[in-house]
Amino acid sequence: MSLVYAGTCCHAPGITSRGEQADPEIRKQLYEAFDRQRQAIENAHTEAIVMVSSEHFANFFMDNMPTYAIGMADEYEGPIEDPDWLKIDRTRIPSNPDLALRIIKQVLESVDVSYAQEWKFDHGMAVPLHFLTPDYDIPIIPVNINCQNPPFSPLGRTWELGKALRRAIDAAPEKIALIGTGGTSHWPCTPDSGKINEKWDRKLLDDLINKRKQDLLAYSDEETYQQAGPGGYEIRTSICIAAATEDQTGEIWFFEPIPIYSTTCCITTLYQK
Amino acid sequence: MDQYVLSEEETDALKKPDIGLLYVLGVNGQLLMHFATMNGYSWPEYIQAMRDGVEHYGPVREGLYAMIDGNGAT
Ligand SMILES: [Fe+2]
Repeated sequence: MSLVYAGTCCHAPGITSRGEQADPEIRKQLYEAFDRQRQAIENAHTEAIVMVSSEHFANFFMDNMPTYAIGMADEYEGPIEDPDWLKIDRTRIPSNPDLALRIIKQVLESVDVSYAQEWKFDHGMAVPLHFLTPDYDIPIIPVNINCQNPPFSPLGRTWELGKALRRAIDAAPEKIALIGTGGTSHWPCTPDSGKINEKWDRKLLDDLINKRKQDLLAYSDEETYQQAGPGGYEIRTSICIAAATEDQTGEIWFFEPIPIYSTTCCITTLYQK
Repeated sequence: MDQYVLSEEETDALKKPDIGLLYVLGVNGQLLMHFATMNGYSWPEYIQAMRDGVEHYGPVREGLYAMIDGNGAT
């Protein structure tokens, strides 16, 4: 049945761990936007979600860092962080290893991906899932792009990963949603934490929803670092989804810089059936 | 910690712990944040410890943040 919905959302741990410290009205609007995305996924009768994130040294470390990895486990567990800190209960997250295997094999036709049968989700997956599948009743297939430590995947290759994921998803009979998470300016866990470059974020979102391939591939690592901080490297997750959905113009459903959450919180829809 | 190859400065910073010095030495914040929390630091205390570290020991010497000015959010 192929791709039924695609979009992006934020995953900053502050959204849940420091949730109540933001302006209550803005927080309400953010949660409503997450809920709108949850409904869009449900309304599309989604049978599995492929979630492209960038984990933060929880599973993949400097001793063995895959540029891209896809999970093929029976199920996952998360969050790996202290649930009391993240304010998300640790739980088991179902998957569909048969579908994951088909997707991995199809992606391998054009992009070299690593795969993993064990994977503990950190906030990069746990925060979006907390809002998008609160009952943990939709199988999740995780995809990781190394955005933590250079050298990183060139953006052109990230684009190809997105194309390969779309081909794999379209080849599957299941109804599949594709979510990317992360990528606006932020300086997480550093003395600059809380700094936000709203202008940079607006341009990125505009490029994403309009699928401006040339512009999206022109973000250099040096400029991203200077303008958007180390968290900006996570643009790879969003660019991957833009590549997968190049055939449709997207929409911004939420955009708000929230310093106490350390980033501009965004929710976009990049493809609807 | 004997199994790791660490300088005296690194060992001391870990044992103390000196969060500011660990930041200056190049520890990634995604790890340092949790190490600080384990050692009882609140979020504002953790941020302040890194700022104090930069003021006391100078700019970040290695790793991902060596390019950041380290002056903190404005
Ligand atoms: Fe992240």
